[in-house]
Amino acid sequence: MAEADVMTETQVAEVDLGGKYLTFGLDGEEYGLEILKVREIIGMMDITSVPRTPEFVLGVINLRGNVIPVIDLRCKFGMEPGEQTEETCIIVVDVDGMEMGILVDRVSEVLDITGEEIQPPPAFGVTVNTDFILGIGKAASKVTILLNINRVLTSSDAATVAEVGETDRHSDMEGADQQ
Amino acid sequence: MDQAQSHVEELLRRAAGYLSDAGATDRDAISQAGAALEEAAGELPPEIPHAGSVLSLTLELLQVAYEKPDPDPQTIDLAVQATLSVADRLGAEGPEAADGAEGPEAAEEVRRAGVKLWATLERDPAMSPFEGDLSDTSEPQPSEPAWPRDADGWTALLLGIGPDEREPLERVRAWLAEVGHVDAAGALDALLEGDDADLDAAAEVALEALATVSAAGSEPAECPEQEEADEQPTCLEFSGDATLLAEFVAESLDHIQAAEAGMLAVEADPTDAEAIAAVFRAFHTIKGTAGFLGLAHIQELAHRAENLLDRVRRGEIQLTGGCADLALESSDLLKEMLQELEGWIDGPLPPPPAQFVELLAKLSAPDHAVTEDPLPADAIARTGDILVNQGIIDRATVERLAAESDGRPLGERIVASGAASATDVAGALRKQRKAAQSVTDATVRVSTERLDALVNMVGELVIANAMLAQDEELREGASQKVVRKIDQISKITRELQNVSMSLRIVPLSATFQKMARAVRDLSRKSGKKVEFVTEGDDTEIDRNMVEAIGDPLLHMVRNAVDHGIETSEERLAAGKPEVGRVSLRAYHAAGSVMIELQDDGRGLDRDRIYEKAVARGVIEEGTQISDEEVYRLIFHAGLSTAREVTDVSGRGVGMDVVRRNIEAMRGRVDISSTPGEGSTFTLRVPLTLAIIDGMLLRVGCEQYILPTVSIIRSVRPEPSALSTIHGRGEMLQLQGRMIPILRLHRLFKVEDATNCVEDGLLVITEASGSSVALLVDELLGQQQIVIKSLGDCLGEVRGVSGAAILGDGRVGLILDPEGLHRMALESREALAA
Repeated sequence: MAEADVMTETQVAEVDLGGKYLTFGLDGEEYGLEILKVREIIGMMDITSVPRTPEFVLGVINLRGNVIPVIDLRCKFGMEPGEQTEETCIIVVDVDGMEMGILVDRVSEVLDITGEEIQPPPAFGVTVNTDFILGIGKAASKVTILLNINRVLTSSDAATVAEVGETDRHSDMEGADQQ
Repeated sequence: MDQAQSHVEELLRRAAGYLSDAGATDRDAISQAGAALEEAAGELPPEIPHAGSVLSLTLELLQVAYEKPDPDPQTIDLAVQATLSVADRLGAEGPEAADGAEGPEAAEEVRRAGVKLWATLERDPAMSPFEGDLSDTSEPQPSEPAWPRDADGWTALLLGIGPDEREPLERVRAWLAEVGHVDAAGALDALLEGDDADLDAAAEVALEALATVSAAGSEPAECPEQEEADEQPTCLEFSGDATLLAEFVAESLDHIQAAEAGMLAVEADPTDAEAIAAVFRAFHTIKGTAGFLGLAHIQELAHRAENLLDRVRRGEIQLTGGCADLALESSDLLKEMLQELEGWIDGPLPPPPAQFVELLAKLSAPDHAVTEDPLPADAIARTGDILVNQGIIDRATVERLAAESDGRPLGERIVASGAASATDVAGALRKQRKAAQSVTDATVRVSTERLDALVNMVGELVIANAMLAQDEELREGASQKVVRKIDQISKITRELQNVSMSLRIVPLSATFQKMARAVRDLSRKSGKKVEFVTEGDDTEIDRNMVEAIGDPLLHMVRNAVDHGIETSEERLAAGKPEVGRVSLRAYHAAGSVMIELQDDGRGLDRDRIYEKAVARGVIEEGTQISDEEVYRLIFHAGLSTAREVTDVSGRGVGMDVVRRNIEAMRGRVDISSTPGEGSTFTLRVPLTLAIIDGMLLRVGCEQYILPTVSIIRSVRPEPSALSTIHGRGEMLQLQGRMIPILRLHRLFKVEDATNCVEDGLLVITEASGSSVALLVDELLGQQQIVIKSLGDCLGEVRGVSGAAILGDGRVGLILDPEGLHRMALESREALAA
C-alpha cells in the first residue's frame, strides 16, 4: 500500500517537482526536503535509546509531551557516524500523519526550485540509494539532492521494523511450541 | 398502605407537637405545623370520613391564628385537638376497616373536632359537612380519593409507577373487580400473591386489562363514581350564603394570581421548588374551600390540577412544555369559572365552560397531553414580540405595558393586565428560552479524544511545573517573590490536574447494576438461590476503565454463581443458609481501585485444579507449589474445573481472558479461597488507564520504569542464593523457590551497567503467574507517570509497553513485565537447546 502511495506521488512529482525545499547538510553534501513535510526544526536534545530496534533508530525524544522517534540519517544512508556539533539538529517531519525526527549535520536554507531546475536521479554517482531520491536540483549554482522523505522513513523502516517483529513472532511461536 | 398511613399519622402528631410545645405566640411553630399538616392532608387516605375536612379547617384556623397579631391560645388548643383526633382515628383503624363500619369513638372524636372548628371559624352551621350520618361514607368526600376512577387514569398511573410499587396494582385489581372485570382481577390476584410477587408481570396484565376496558368504551354501570366523572357536568344548585361565595371567589382569584406568578417562575427555572409548592398550595386551597361550598366542578378541576402538581412537586415530572400548559390552562379555566360565579346571587350555578370535560380528561392523563412547540427559526425574540407575532396581543399594548415598568417581569404584567392569558405568556417565555438554549448550553458534549488530549497536556504541564519548581538554579538565585509565584503556579497546576482528571471519572454503579442483573438471570437459570450485595458502588474510576473492567468482572461474577455457589440442597446438607451470597465491593486504596468479589460457595478445589493442570501438562506431576500458586493456575488457558460445561461458563476461557484483560490495564487479580467457605477475588486496577504508579530504575546510563503493581519485592542477593542450573540459566533461590534471573542490560544491550549480580539489585516481578528476577543497578524511586505510546513508526517493541516523560523532561521507557518474562523464557530455551 505504501508502495502504491509512493508511486502516485512520484508520478505527480514527475509532472512538476518545483517548489520550496528545506536544504540541509549531511556528510558534506546538500540534501533537500519538501517544505510542506517539515513541521519544525529543533536543536539537539537527549535521546532515549529504544532497545531491540534497527540501528538507524536513535531512540525517542519528548517533543512537548509527544514521544516521537528520531532517525539517524547518516546511519540510514550508510555513512560514517559524524560528530555532534553546535549545528547538529533534528528536523521534525510529518510522514503520513506520523511525526518523526531526522538527525542532520546542519540546516542550510529554504530554496525555491523550479521544475526545470530539477533533473531525474542519476543511476549512479551518489551515496544514497536512488529509490530515496526525487531528483537533483540545480539552483543558485548549487547541487541539491532532493529526498523522497516518505520513502526514506516509512517504506523501508516499516519493512525493517516489520521484519524484526516477524522474526520475533516466529521465535515466540517456536517458544510456545516448545512450551 | 400501612406505611403511608403511619407516615401521615406521624406528620400529624408532629404538627400537634409543634403547636403544643411552642404555645400560641411562636409563629415559626405555627407555620411549621401548618406545613406538616399540609403534607399530611396531601397523603391522607381518602376513605376516612371527615378527616380531610377537619385538616383543611385546621389549616384555615392556623392561618387565621398566624395572621392575628396575638393568637388566641384556645384556637391553638383547638387545632391541636383536631389534629390529634385525626391522628388517633388513623391509628385506631386502617382505612380498609373504615368503610361502612359504624363509627367508633375515634371517628366521633374527629367529627366533634370538625364541628368545633366549623363553629370557631364562624361558618354557617347549616352547611357543615359534619352533621350527616357517620356511617354514610359512600357519599363523595370533601377530600377526593387519590386513586383514578377510569381506565385511562389507571393506565396513566400504572405507567408512572416504580418497579416496587405494589399498592397501585392492588388498587387496580380492586377497581377491575368492581367494574366487572373479574378475570383480569383474578389473574392479577394470582400474580400479586406472596411476598416475591412478579410486579412487572402484574403491571403488564393490569395494563392489558385496562386497554380492553378503555377500548370497550362504555364503563360497566356498577361503578357509580364513574358515572359522575364521565357524564356531562350538570348544573348544580348552590344552597349556601351569597356572601360566603363572594368571599370564596375573591380569595380564590387571589390564589390563582399567585399560582400564575408561580408557574411563570417555574417556566423560567423548572427546579424552583418554592414556586412549585406555591402553585400547589393555591390549587389545594381552592379545592378545599370549593369542597365545603359544594362547588363540585371547581373542586374537581382544582383536584385534578393538584394531582398533576403533586407529581411535579415530588419530582416525577417537570412543569415544562405540555405539563406547564395543562397547569396554566387549568388556572385559566378556574379563573373563568370563578369570574362567572362572581355576580351570582341566587338560583342554579352557571354550568362549567365547554372545555371543562376535555381539560379534565387531559389532566387525568397528563403524559399524553404533552406537546412540544416547534422551535422558532429566528434568534431570541422578546416575550412581547413573540406574543405580537402570534397575534395574541397588539404591539401598542405591549409597548404600553413595557413602558410602565413596576419591577415585575413583563410577562407577569401582561397577564395581570388581562391582555393575554398566562398560558400564552408561558408559551412565549418557553419559546424564548428554547432559542436562548440553542445559543448557550449548560453542558457540552466533547469527544473523548479531545478530553484525552486535554488530560495529556495537563499531565505535561504537571511535569513541566515540577521541573520548574525543582530547578536548583532558580531556587537558589531567585528572590522570595519569584518562589512564591512559582508556588502559586504549582497550586493552580495541581487543581487543574484534579479537575481534568475528574472530567473522565464516573462512578462504578452502572457496572455493578449490570452485575446484579447478571446474577439475577443466572440464579434463575441455574435454579440456585443467590443474594447479591454491593458496597461502594459510588467509587469513582476513569470512564475508560469502567469499560475495560466490565467484561472481566462479568466473567468472574458468572463464575462465582455458576461454579462457586452450590445448589440449595448441597448448601443445606453442608449446614449453610440455603441462599447463597455473592458480594461485590469497591474501594480506593493507594491510588488504585480495589474491587472485591466474594462468594460463600464451595471454594476452589485445590486438588482438582492440580490434577487438571497436570493432565493438561501445565505443571509436572509432583511439583510442590503453594495454594496461592495452585489457585492462580485457573487463570491458565484451557483449565476449567466445572464438571459440566454450561452455556455460561465452563469452557475454561473465562479466567484466562480475565487475567489478560486486567493485566493489559496494568492491574492484577488475587485469589484467596477456603474450601467449603467460599472464595474472594480481588481486582486491583489503576484509577485511570493513562496514569500508573511506576518504579524508576537505572540500568547503566539508561533509566526504565517498571509498573509498581507487578513488583513483588527487590533483594540484594547473597552469593549463596545464586546458582546456575545447566540448561536453565541463572537462578535466584528465594524462600525455597527458584526464580530465573534476567539481566536487563544484556537483553537491552546497555553498556556500562553492572555485570556482577552481587553489585546490583534483583527486582522480583510477577506476570502471567510466573516470577522473574530482573537485574538492575539501582532503584531511583517511585512516581506517578503518564503513559504515552511509542508511536506507530516504531511498531511494537518487545519488553517495552510504552514511554513516559520523566521529571527531567527526558523520555523513559516503561517495561512490560509479561514481555520480559517471555523473553526470559526464550533465552532459557535457547540455552537448553
